[in-house]
Amino acid sequence: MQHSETIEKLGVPTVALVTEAFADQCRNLIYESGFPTQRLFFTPMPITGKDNAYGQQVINGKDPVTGKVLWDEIVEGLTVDHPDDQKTGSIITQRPAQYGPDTPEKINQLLQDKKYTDYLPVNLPTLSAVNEMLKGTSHNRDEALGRMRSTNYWRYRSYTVENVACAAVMAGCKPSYMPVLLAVAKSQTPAWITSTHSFGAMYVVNGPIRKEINMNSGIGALGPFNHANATIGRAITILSKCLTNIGHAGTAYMGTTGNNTNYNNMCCAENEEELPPGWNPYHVQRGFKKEQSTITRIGLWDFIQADPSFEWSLLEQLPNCFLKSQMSQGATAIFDPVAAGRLYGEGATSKEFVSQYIIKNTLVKVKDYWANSYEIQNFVRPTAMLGQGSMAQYWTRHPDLMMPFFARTNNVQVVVVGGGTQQFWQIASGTPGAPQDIDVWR
Amino acid sequence: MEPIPLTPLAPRVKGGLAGKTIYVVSVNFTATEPFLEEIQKKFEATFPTATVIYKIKEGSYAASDTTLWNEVKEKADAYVMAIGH
Repeated sequence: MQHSETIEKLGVPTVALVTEAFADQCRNLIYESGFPTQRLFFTPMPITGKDNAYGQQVINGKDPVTGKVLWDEIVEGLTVDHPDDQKTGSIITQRPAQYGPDTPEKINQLLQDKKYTDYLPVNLPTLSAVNEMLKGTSHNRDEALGRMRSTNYWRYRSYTVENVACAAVMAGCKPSYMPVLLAVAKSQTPAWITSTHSFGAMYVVNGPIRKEINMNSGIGALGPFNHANATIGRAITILSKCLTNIGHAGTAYMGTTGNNTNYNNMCCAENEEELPPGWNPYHVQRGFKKEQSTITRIGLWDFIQADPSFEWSLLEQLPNCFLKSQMSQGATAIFDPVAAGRLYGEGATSKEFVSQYIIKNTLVKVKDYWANSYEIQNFVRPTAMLGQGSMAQYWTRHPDLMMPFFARTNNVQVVVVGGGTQQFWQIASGTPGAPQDIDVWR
Repeated sequence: MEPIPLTPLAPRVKGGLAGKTIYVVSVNFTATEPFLEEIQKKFEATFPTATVIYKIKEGSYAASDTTLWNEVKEKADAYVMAIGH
């Protein structure tokens, strides 16, 4: 659809066709992009994988959203002017900074109706509660932190330290958690983005602040067993919903099944105390000092639990498990400390050793790689077929030869989380972003 | 929030599509070619004097194709783009 806008700006009248599932989203988007009368029509869902006979039927049939004959809409869309087509100026929308006094129940309902919450009861962000939360940082409440949007199709929304404090109150955070949340907000990245894929996120905290605010890096660290882990993770969700429009399912949020990790974002602390010798905390790997505190977002496509055999080398089992993740753009291994210790005993003298071992030894047949997934077929194959980019060399390779599964990014990272009760581990299909400095927000 | 600047649309084709050059362009979403082919055929059958050009945009469906955009700007009287999912 943004391509049609480009063509309109070049002076060529266009019609854009999308499937009916995206009607609300696209109608909102053409408004947001300043093309409210853009000619946008709809087909039944899905169109992908259908044959020519079906295509004929759709073109001659009715638009499932408007009820008009699709072919008539296409021709009219190219040939008939709309009175508002040549309008200029701006559309200005405002939202109130504060709401008047009312009952807690009604305000809770209002926050739900505005899609700012996770539909669990929230603590109301009253002036006194927000003032108390702001004691957790030395920064001024009016300090601008940046702007955020759910994807590049939507407008940015700007926000301040006070906005973050509101979300922290709503989630049930303590004031001492504020520096962590401000570091997340400063990244200007929401927890997850608009897509038909149900993305998730994981947030890992490193450094002394883990102990200061009593975060959990041990048993149940990724589950609902710790106040800081639970409420910080929840606040990140509420922040993302309040600071973007990602709470609007059907327009800004299109994840077809949804992702349960969106409630809490798997917020945890790395178990730095149980790292094997030579294994550095993640933030140290990325250039921070051990005594600094950071939070890192890992964007997730999917998430699986490995079930290793204890009868042979754990290291040698890793590649097969990563193939099952199906996500070749990169991954993060989450090892329990005992599993990490076992790898160390097998010769993995650093996290980097493990990463390189996985990258080098996770191999797949060329033909299976290109048939593997929607992600590869739509985002990797089109460029490789043109002979462009680093993956082009694998497009022309014999289909039965083996190739590196992670060839596109060569990016596999390792974090250590867990309480040492079993040699289990997990794979997050996604790689960590840059650690965000927490200390500057104290 | 930032105000939304309005951008005028290109004027629609005057005098109908007969004799015009119509581009039918696929965004390059997997397995959607049959639908685009049928749009091309429908234009050719309905407007036999029109020149109907079917193109598949290069790169992934979200990526821009500047070469194609320049060609469309130069040659197209009308443009239909489809489709994902």
